[in-house]
Amino acid sequence: MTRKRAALLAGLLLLIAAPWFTTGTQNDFIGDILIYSLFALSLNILIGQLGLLSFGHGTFYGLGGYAAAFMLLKASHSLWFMFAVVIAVSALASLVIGYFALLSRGMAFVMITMAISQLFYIVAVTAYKITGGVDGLTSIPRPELFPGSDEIQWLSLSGTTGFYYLCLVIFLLGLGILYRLRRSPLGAAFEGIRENEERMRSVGYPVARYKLIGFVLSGTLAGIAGALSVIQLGFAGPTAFFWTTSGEVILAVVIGGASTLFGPVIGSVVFLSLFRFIGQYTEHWRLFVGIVFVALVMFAPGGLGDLWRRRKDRAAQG
Amino acid sequence: MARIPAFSSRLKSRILAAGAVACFGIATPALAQDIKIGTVIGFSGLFGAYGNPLFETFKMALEESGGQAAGRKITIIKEDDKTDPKYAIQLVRRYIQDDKVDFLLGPVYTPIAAAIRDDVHRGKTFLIVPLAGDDGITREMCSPYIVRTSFSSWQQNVSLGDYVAKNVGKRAALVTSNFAAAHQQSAAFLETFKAGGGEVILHERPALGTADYAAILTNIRARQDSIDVVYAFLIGPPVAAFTNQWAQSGLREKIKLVGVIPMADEFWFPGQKDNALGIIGGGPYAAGALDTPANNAFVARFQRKFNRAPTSTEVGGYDAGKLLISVIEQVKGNLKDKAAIRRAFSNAEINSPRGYFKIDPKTGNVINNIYITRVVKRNGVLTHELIQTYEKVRDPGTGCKMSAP
Amino acid sequence: MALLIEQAVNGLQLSMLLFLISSGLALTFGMMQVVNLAHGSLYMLGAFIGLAAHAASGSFVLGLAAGALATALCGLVLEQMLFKPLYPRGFHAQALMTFGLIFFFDELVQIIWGADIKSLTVPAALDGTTLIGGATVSLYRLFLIGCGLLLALVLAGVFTGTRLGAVIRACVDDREAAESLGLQVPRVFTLVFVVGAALAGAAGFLAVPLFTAFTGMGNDTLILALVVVVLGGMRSVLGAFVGSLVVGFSLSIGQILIAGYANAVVYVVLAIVLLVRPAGLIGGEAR
Repeated sequence: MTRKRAALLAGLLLLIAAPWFTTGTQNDFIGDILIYSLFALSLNILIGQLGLLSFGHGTFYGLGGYAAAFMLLKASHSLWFMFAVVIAVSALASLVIGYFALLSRGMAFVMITMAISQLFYIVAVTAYKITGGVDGLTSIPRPELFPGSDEIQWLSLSGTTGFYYLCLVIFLLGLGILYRLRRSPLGAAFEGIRENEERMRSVGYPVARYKLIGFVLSGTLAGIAGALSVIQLGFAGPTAFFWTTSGEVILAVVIGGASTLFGPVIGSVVFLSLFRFIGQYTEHWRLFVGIVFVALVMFAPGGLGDLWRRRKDRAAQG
Repeated sequence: MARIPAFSSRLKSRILAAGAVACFGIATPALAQDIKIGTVIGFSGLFGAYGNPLFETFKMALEESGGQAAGRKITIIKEDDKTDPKYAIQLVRRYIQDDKVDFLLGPVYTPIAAAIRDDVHRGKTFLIVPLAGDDGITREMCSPYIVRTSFSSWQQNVSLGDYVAKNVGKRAALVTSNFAAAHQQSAAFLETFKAGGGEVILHERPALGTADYAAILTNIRARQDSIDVVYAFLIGPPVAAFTNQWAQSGLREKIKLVGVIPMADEFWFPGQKDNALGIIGGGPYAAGALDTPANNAFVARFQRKFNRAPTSTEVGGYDAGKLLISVIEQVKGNLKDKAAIRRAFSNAEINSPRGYFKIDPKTGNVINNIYITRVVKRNGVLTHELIQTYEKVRDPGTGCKMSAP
Repeated sequence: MALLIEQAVNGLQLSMLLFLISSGLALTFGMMQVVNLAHGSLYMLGAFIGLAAHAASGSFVLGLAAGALATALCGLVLEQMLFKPLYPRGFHAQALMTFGLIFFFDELVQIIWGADIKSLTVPAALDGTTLIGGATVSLYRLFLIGCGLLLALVLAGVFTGTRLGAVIRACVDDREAAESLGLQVPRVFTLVFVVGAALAGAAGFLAVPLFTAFTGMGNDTLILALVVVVLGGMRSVLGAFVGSLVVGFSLSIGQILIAGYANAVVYVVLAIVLLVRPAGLIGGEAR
């Protein structure tokens, strides 16, 4: 246990020290991984803990992104105001959408979440006068901590380093929330619902309400991740709402393993690295990415996190 | 001893990152004095059909000068932008910050142009746009670092609108995909079409990617007695789908189909086959329409390599290459003076297959002729015949406020 | 009146084309409950291989047969090597694996046949238009309506009237009971999967004259097919048929009324149907 803690601490220190030993866009890449990990972690509240497979998680990622874009383009550059709006929008949207989607279960739930995501995509593409359509919204400015903070170099979010630390802080907060959630009575209730929903209901748990709570928490975190992504790129586009975005984040969760806390993080690292690096070596990157996915499934059934855990168990035994 | 995943995976990703950059540097031994070009082009998937030939003609132009200019070798870093604006932004940042390229080539897909504009401008790296036709990139989003060798949506259509109103018919039905670029195109067409006395009878805006046009064709059929011409602007596979369904609908006899040349050119002919015959087009280039030495030579070389005639896409890539060579030679290989490079772009005289070619110093967009063509068959092969030429069409560049670099 | 008939025919032909495309998915996903996101890839393979055969022989029929058979063969190989080990592993694994297949096949097709868009001229016998009740209808679209109806009849006949149909239903509904009865469940699964693949491939080829063939063409169709199968009700070919009609007419009506948002109609209808009847319109028990 202490070994694990030491390793985690070392990892944390490396993340904090990253801007010092990375060059060029490497720091941005680590930031991207942190943002995407948050997205995947949020989805895992649904998949890993509640056992709900949402195929429309991109909806909240996209909504958070566009909310951030609108605020920064039209309203104010304040980071706090932007986050307040992003959280409000994502929470409200996930409350309303979650309420209706959770009326159904199983395959119907999967398809309804997907349908909602596609609906947002169609609206985002068609109402181009507001959303920028397929072109999206560009030239989105970076927020600032407080008016004038951009002048102070180490507080400025316009550069790579300042923004990276913002992502790191939010990532750690999100990780912390999920860690606490897993260990809380609510988290235990979530697992119970995943294992046997009927039994939980018969024992008196307000299952519907708990599912909705989980859905809202998950959607809000996804919205925050989406906002960070948009700020990082200075660009918000409708593909966040397209079903492949929701599919890809499911893959990231599955690759890393839905049963562990860090599974989605591992999955995000693998997923993003695959896309970034294979593309540099060959233009036929899709071929190799496909092969890797298939291989991962055939040889690491519970995801990589699970693979490691089983190896650790075997090592402990032998 | 147990391995810890969180630690090792994060460390692994960083080692991987550092290693990849190192390996990548070793993989392409670019010398300090080489001129580096980074591609922001989609090579995979659907848009690869545009990106690949365009890149080949770009290289063709470079090869004509021996792959060098002003004594410096030109090396290209070829990466796929995956036709994804988000990925393209990250790619451009890598090119500028990590690879420190001297020039960027691309994009093909219009939304990417707007998405990368800020990074290009802030990064003070010259971008040569060989295809993306969005008006904005040489209007309100113009930058001293962006030049375009293809066309603006406006240019393609204004001449066509004028020609159609005067020679084809005054009552039009429009079928345009429901997205911003299509609206730009049709608005430009209508500008001159209406000025020439034309009126819009019907304007259908099918969703992007619609494959089945039966309902729309039925609507047109219901009003066929009051429609002379159909103007269509679609992108992607629906172009061929629409053309084929149009031909199958039986409306061809009475109503003429018009559109920008890229709606019916060598790119689409395999998909449209004889259904493309008779379509009237407008645009800066059509291989079969221009009988000049420069064009004939270009077409012959392209034909040998690709077994078909080139389209405006490929000319955009070819001219981008020639433009680049000219610019580097003009500044004698000294890329430090950005203002001088910008002037070189505007002063460049290249022998383009399309005829007249000049980069507008005010906007960075190309000034060229717009040709009105009709699809015909010559020697059993689909091609274009020239009907009329509009000389030296220049995009107004409304909203472009540019200072020297 | 003619306008109404023409629009009705439009809706019907789109529905039948959707049925042709989704029938394969109705078999694999609907009945066998196997997640196959690569259904669109099989659709694409059928189109390209069929086109190659047509280019070599000049025969439409041969192209269709080649497309269907090649896809069936491909389905056989995939089923035996990749799907079979994953049957017990459930949704996640199958989704991830087939997602990987989508990438793989999209790129493979581009490597072999290039990225440009290919088409097929309608065979002379089916070219042109005809008049029905004063409405002009494309002959090829009528042909597609015929194919769809024929397929529906054949499938319905097999599942309700033949022993094979009963066997398939038994294996799909309750695998253990079927095995205890001595039925060769793995063989049956393979057969159903292969037939599903063949149907996808055939649909891909048949759609080419209208929609053309290009790398990645299966991705949009996959979503529509999924919607059709789930909306109509899984575990039932009749469900897929009904689903096709609903989706096809929704799209057609959507295109007439709110052109830009046409596709949105489909998703709204899907969401409403699933909220009211989670198992789909003709679905059996909810899962």
